[in-house]
Amino acid sequence: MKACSRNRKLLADLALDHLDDSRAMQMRLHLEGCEGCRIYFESLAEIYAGQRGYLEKAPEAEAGFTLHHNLMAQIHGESTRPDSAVHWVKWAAAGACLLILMVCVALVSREKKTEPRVITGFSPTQQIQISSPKSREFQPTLSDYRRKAGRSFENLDALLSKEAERRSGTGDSVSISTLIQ
Amino acid sequence: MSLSSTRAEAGSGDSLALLQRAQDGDAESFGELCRLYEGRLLRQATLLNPGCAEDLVQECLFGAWKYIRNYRGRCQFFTWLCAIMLNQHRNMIRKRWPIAFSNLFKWKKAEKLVVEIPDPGRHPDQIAEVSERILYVQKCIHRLSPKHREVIHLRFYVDDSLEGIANALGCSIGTVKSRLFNALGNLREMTAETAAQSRSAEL
Repeated sequence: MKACSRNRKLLADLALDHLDDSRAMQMRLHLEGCEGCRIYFESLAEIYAGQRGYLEKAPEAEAGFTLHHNLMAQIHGESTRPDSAVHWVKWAAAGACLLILMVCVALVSREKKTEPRVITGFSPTQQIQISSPKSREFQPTLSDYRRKAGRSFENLDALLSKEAERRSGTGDSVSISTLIQ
Repeated sequence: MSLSSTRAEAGSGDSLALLQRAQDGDAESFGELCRLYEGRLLRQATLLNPGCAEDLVQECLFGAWKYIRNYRGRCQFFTWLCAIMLNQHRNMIRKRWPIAFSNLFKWKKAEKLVVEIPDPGRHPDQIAEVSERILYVQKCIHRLSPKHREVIHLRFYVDDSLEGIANALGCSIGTVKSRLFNALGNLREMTAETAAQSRSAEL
């Protein structure tokens, strides 16, 4: 036999002592005439009363010295002020955010520096583009040959000889002044 | 009035002064306050997990020290501590704290504690049967969802009012009532299944 569906919540409240006296009396009167509700209520009351009885009869547990000692060591080790851990985490988070922001700003400014600069003020056809040394194309000048040869004089000599041969083929003469230009 | 709430009120004068000093940052006062509640908390922790009861109490009290300024006195201090402990227990299950092999035997010790409760008015067979049922209900409580387990624990073992439980858990009284009703219904179904199984085994 099933319990009345409309009374189930009230029966749970009755089993857990949540009902006021008049309502509890009303429910107890109903239980006398309804077997389904009575079985339902008894099963709930048994669970609750069993656990309550167990807790009240069970002996009090005694906390050992080590528990209290460890706890106090943990408290003193952390800080003597409450909420310090929370504050520490807040400051750490704020610091991390600031650091990320600074890195972003530095990256953006670096990006801007590497972009080619355009000198304006002339007519559009006369705009001079000044690029960074690394991105600049190789020009047949002494400084570019020295850069290309690195620290080796042999390489520089070989490069210059090659350039002289190339120019002699075309009829151009190679001199220091032409290279410097 | 129940046993636990009477004990809570007996030391309320001292504990209130200690609590106020602890909220001002006095670690020694908090230590004294802990001494008042350690035993009761340990018993509650034994119900939750006998293997890690002391660790649970230590973590709970340390958590209470960190957030003691958040306690506004809307529920009993012990209920507030138990709510922290239930939360720690939930985290413990989620993170799967390592359990020492020797601690596994503490479960047996807890079971023995229930069986050895003296009751002169009953036959030993009846006592054994009741104890078995109590233990079974406790195992069923561990199988409930965390939200249901929390309200059942606070209502059954901590015995605070519905309002106190609602404030400790940070929800409405209606939510607590609804969770209690559903949890109790689930427990009833679980125990009824076992009773039916044992009856069929006897036949």
